[in-house]
Amino acid sequence: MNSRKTMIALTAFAALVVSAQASAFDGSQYAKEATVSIEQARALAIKAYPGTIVEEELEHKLGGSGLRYSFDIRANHVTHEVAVDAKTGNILENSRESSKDND
Amino acid sequence: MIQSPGKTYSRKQRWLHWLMALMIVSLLIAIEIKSDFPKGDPRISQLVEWHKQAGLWVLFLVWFRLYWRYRQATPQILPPLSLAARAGAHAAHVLLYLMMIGIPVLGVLFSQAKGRAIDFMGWPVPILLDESTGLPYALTLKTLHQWLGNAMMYLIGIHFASALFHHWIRRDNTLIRMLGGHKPVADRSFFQTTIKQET
Repeated sequence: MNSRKTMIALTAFAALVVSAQASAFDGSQYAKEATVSIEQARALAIKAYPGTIVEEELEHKLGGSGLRYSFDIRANHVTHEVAVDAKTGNILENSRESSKDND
Repeated sequence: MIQSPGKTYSRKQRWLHWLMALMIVSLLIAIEIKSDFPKGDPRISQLVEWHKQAGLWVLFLVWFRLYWRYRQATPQILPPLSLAARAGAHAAHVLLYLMMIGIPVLGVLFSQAKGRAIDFMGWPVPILLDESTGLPYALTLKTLHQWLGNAMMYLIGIHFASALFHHWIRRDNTLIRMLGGHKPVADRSFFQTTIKQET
């Protein structure tokens, strides 16, 4: 294999890794356990606190069914953390982000 | 003027390499373990702050590495690598350098897009993307920052495994160039004999 082919193969590999990651959201490995899709959860979260989603994650956490979508939603210079139960669609949390949760 | 290659990388190159390696590994660990703490725990913001500061240090220091890499010829690997292996190593290093620049920049853009100003060692980082313009892109920037960060973890793993392969299996001087030792750690005569026979 010459160097050009190797470069192409490595670039393709890198693109594959990135695109494989790109198809997933944070915590998407738990998506099989969820009955509410990320799209449905986004809609429910935006309804609970209208604004722009700046972060999203599917995570295991105490409360509700134990599996939740956590969103950071920003509107009017205020960020709210909104959690949607990934099995029931219930809103588990809708509170202003504190400075301690700064990320 | 490009300086001629030595047997190892220069002392400053070696120190910077290991310092930045430590920073990158620690900032990756910091962001990975933050979700293990309960909401509101002050350690979360401390870990995130470390992640940001170490990331900005990487973005700052990588230019010195690139400058010295340009100024000083790379020490030769002995026995020499095949063309394909050299091309592979080169591609991996280029990707790592691009990530060391691109990932922190995406992190800064993400923070600023969601309305959070960033400082570096107390100095405010210039606003590259204000909230009014950047808010709709914040999630995309965060996702890209995270994907590339994950991809970099894999690449660092490959980089680390390759270094060990060269040192323990191929028994060449790849790792020694970055450790600074001048003597080989093991008898490489067998390998060199094999190479000679092949050629």
